Amino acid sequence: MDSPHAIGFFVSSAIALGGAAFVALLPGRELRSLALLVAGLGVTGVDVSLSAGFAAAVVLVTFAGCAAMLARPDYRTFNWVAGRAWRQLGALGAALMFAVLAYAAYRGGFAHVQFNGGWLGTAAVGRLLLARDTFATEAVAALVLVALVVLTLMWRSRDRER
Amino acid sequence: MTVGIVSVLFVAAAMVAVGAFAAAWRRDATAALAGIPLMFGGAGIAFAGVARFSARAAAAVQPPSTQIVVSVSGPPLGQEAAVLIAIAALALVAMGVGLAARAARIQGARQETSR
Repeated sequence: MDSPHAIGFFVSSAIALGGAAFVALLPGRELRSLALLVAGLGVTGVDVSLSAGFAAAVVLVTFAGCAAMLARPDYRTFNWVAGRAWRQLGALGAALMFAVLAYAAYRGGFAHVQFNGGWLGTAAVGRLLLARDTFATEAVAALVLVALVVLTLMWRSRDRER
Repeated sequence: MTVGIVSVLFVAAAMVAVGAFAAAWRRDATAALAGIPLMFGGAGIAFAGVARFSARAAAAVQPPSTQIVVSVSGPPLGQEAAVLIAIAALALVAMGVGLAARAARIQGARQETSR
């Protein structure tokens, strides 16, 4: 990886991690959604610097979609965690998970290859998605369909209550 | 200044951990859902990184060892996984938003009944 790509990778990583930290800590749904969008831009930049242009475009669209859904004006709060101790335990677990994953990344012996794909990779990824791993693609499509049905049913029941 | 698979995996691990922290720390279920795209985005970065730096072509497979092996990269399976994961994250957030809104309505109705 040459220097411009490396600089892009580190800058994008900082943007992604900063945005993610703000998502976790900022109050208010608008600010949180904005932070999620910034984190998505960072992840997109990381993917672009890793020569995964098509994946970067999809990631940007999905982060924007998530941010739009979480910034809805008819937002209703639903508290699902009662105890403070459980939240602190979850935070501790997240830190522990980072330590384990970072250790695994540092100690792992990885092969090193010469990358021979393009920066976008649309044709290669399309061949994989639609020819080689069609079943996985259809499974994700079914998941999207179920999610859209659930979302539509909830909206319809809300309109009926009104 | 160079970037290798270890740097990519560090960033991916940090993204996953921050996403898990956001999901665990937020009291509001809808706010906690924002952790899902972060975690899945981190996993996608790891997949894309492995596809970029370490995924060998099937024709050049060698016995697994801890030594560094230089060969040609294979098809971008990691990029494919990153695409599928990103779409799955969007679907899960959509489903979660719907279910959380439903749960909030039920909770509100119960509170009104108990009064």
